Amino acid sequence: MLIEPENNSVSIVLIGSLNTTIFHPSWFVANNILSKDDIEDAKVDIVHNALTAFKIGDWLTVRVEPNRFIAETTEPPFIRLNDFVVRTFSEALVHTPLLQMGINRHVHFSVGDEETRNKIGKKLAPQEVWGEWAKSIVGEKDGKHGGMVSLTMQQAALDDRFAGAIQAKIEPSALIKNKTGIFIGVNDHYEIPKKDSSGGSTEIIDILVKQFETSIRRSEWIIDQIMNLKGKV
Amino acid sequence: MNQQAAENLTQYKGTSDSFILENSAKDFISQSENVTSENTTGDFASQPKLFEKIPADIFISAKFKEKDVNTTYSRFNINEKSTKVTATSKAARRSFSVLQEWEGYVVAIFKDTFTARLTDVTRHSSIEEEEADFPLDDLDDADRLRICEGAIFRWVLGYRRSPGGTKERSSRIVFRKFPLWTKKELNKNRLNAIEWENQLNLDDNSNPTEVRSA
Repeated sequence: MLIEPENNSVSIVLIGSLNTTIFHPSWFVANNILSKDDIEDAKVDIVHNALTAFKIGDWLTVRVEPNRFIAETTEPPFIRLNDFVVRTFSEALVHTPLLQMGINRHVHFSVGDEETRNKIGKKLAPQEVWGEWAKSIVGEKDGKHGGMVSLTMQQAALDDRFAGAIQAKIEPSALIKNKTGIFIGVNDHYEIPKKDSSGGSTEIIDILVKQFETSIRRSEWIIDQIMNLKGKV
Repeated sequence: MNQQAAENLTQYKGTSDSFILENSAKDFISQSENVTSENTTGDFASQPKLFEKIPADIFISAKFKEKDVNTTYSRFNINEKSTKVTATSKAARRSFSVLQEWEGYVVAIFKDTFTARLTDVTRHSSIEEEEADFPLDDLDDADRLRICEGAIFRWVLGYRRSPGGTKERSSRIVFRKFPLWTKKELNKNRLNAIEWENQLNLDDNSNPTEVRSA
């Protein structure tokens, strides 16, 4: 990417019908998806029929709800996350019906100074279109000023999937200090026909295997379009 | 606010004329939620949010049976039970940004090193263009025991940034763990191999002079 992010992550979200209580790190070891060494520094936050959540070292965070599985990593190589999810649902949970999938790429990066960030915000969301209210938007109080809080763009014309969309969301970064940071999150969403999910997880996992790296590269290309604004505003 | 949403408002029993919403009205009024299955909008990950108590969140979801088809990921630090966003949650976490990434496979293993052929993933290359030697000491203890010829790994070079903001150059090697072949896939591959063999034999028979000259 054009600007080195200060914080970045990738997550895979699967929508389906899940038994949350089985997703303990030891279950992954029992099913040869993770090794005993892998889970040595596992930290289990909760195992409950409404929510299971655990972390393994710095590289894996898993959260499972009755209809949603989320795996996230902040540590490259991101393909490791893909391999983990693929193994989980193509070996141990091949009969779990999955209907939808999201591949998410998130970054926080600094544009150097607050003025540049403000200019980018105004370019993305011009204030003058708000007419009379625009004068009030620019006001400042207690160090905070008005302006763009969040913007989402969507691409729906996609011929690589049955249904879905790509959405990119941009906001001021809540993690980077001194008001110099921008957060961008790209959600690459895939759906399959309901009848195809009766075959379990195969259809969605096949899509994941085929699309994961392409999706990450495309998301980073989208993020680069905004990073490119730094030198242009 | 549309007409249908207005019908779902109930008067707030307070000193003001403000209204509270029936929970079902949220679906009609909210501009960020779409009740159809194609919706993936919603809160994104990585931005600290106001945290709610775990039991309240779980029971509310169960009570109203909200069908969550959101494939974005909303970070939820379940150790944070306060409704306030704490200072630590706003701090930058440790991160690694990639400068270069290769996929490699092991071709030889020696006493202290191993040799691998590399494909440049960063440049989207599909051909092995490089070969390199790596110290076995660079591997995790577990990988050092498991390494074998043919093993596939990713090698990443980049900058590691600490929560305090300091930056250092770093590299790591991670061996990939692929799904096991299923019986169905093995059978399919065997059938494909037989088909290709038959096709090659057919070609040999139809072009005997080409085969001899090769």
